[in-house]
Amino acid sequence: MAEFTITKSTLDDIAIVSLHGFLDAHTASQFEQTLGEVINQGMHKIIVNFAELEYISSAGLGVFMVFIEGVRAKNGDIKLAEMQPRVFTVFDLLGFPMLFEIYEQQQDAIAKFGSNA
Amino acid sequence: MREADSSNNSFKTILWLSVALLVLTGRVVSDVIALASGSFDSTISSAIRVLLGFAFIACTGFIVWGYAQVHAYRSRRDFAKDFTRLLVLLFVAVLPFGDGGNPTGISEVLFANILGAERIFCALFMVVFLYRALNLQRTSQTRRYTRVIIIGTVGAFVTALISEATHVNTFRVLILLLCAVLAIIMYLAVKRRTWVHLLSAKEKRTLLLLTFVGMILGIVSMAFSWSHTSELYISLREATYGFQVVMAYASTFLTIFCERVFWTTLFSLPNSSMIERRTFEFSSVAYLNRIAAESTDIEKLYATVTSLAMQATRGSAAWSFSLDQQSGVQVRSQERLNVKQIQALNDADVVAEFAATLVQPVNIEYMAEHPTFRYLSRSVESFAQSMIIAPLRSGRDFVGAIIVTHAQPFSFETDDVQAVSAFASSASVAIENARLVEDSLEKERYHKELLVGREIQRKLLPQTNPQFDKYEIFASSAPALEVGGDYYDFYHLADGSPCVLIADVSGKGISAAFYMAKLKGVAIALARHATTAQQLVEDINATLFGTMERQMYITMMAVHLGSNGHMSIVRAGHTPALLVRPGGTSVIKPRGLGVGLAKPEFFRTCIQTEQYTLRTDEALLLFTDGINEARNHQEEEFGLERLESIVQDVTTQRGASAESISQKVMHDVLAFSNHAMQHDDMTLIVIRRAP
Repeated sequence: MAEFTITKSTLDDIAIVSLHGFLDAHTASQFEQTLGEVINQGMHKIIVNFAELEYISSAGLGVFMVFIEGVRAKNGDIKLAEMQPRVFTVFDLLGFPMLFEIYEQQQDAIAKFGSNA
Repeated sequence: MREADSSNNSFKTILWLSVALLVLTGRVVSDVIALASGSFDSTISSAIRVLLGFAFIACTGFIVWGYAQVHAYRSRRDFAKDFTRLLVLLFVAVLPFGDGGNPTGISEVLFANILGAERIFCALFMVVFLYRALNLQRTSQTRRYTRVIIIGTVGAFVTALISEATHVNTFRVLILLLCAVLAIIMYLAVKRRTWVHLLSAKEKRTLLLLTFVGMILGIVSMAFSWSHTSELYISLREATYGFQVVMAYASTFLTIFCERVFWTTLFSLPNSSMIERRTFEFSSVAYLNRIAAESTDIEKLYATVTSLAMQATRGSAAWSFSLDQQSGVQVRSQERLNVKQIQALNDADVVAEFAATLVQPVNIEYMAEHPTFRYLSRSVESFAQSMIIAPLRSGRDFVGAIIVTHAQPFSFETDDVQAVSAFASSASVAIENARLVEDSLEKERYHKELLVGREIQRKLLPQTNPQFDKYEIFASSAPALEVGGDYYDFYHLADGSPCVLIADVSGKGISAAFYMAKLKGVAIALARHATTAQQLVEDINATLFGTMERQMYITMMAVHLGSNGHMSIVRAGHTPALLVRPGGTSVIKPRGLGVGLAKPEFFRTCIQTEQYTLRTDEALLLFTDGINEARNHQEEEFGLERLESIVQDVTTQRGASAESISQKVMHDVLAFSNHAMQHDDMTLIVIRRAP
């Protein structure tokens, strides 16, 4: 099974978290920890880039729910970008497009954050 | 048994004591009569004295032997006590009380007899003591030597007796020669004295004193009992002819014994602390291994090893810590150090980081001069100026360390480092063992949890298929090894019409089973008051939202079955359903959001009901993602298309029932995965119109 790795970068006040590989019950805690760290550093505008994520399980989806309210309470948001069709289907079935903004291009998500500011 | 034995023994002792007193009284009486009649030196009176003397020796022999049986040398203290008793007896025995001549009055007779009795007792006590002392540490030769010595002594006694009776003096030379030979044997018999080395310094000092006094008294007693003119010699000869030889021999042996032990003790005294430490280490490591074998209590292990390391090195304080990825550095035990002192010592984890680089323990002789610890030496110099750091390793991993500190610099020697090293390595083994045990317990617990989760799930799911008037429903479920959270149930809504619910709780194992149980209770209660499937799902969300962990959610689908095949279907994030029609299968995927993800107000805006009509030649398939995401050994998914084509075929066959469709699908899915590990529960509900 492919490894799961996370890379982080920042663009002004926006944190970009890119996921690679398989996000399942075993790797979800790693993702949760990383996201928690980003938020603890005071970053509340977060983009999660899915371009290189092969697979996501229900446990992986749960991680977003842990932080979304706290981030939005601070006028921030978690926006999702560049999902592969397979991964999007999982989000779509669960109804996530109704809870999160999902963009085809990361650029659009950045622009959205910019227009809000 | 032992109690019975000892009371039996003390009874015997009392018996022999009474006989001995009787004999002694007889001696006194006969002596007084002989003295009064002026025939003290006559043959008859001498013979009576000799006979009574024999009787007394026999009684005393039994008493002393019986005493030896009861007072076995169970400890060094027993031995020391007996040694002391002997020396007191011998001291009294060598005091020149009498004048050496024949007694002249009753009081003198009495005194001489009592003194003689004491000396006989002393001689026999000495013999038995030496016999036992030699057997403290036996060699293959010990028994032979002691036998020769005893037989020789008895022989000398008999020879002396004959010599006295016949006044033949040449025997005396023989006795002296025999004694010299026996002395050599005695010398050899006290060969093994390693027990002396194992004594503590204090015990050695006691032994040194005892053997010194024993030597002096032995020499004095020896000199007296070989000398014809001495009071001791005459007194014993008076008591029984020849017994002075027994005293002479015994004194000689005692002198040899004391002399040999004395020098051994004296020379081993400087090694005492070393030997004491080795003994301590040896017994501590044994103790540590026992603790490690008996318990998996890591805390106790750390506490024990820290305390032992401190004692062995005579450090002024000690502490230990463990290190693992989850909890970092954790102080496990502390001896004579408080939390603040440990914090000061391990400032910024300096000790932990240093220890992690070590393979062997190191001796930091003077912290103020050590490159790593120099900077903190000021702040800790009041309680730690030198220390030994011993790493604990489990396999290749660094798992912790033991640190012994001393308030003075240059306090530890190479020996101390070795001692701590011994403790550290046995502690490492124990920690490794404890970890292995914990791991296997963890696995055991995990396995039990799996079984418990499955059992809960089995009990929560309906035991039979529902009997609804106008519908034929068949549900089947294949749980994964680890419960996947699949759930389904059948209800009658407020108006009495049937409703089917299928759900999948996110997460696995006990926690999924727990939410399943919660869902079951909530759904049963709410279904009674709900008028539509949508209301049921919305109410379930309203009840459960906020009570669930934030990352948990439940996907579900509810189908409200009306008359004439009318179906209202809602989907809360669940895997879509399949509606199988003769002309083709369609995917039913009404808009909706998983339960537990959003507040009731928002959730309501996300949910939409879709209406369908189920005809008699059609079937509705509700299922969980365990079905379409089933994988084979090549990691290929079963997939929705494959499922669609199978149900399309089977449903259009003549006489297909909900049961036969369900069995066909389950069979094909299991055949596809071909015993590949089933990762998720698989649940399938087939709904048809009743024929």
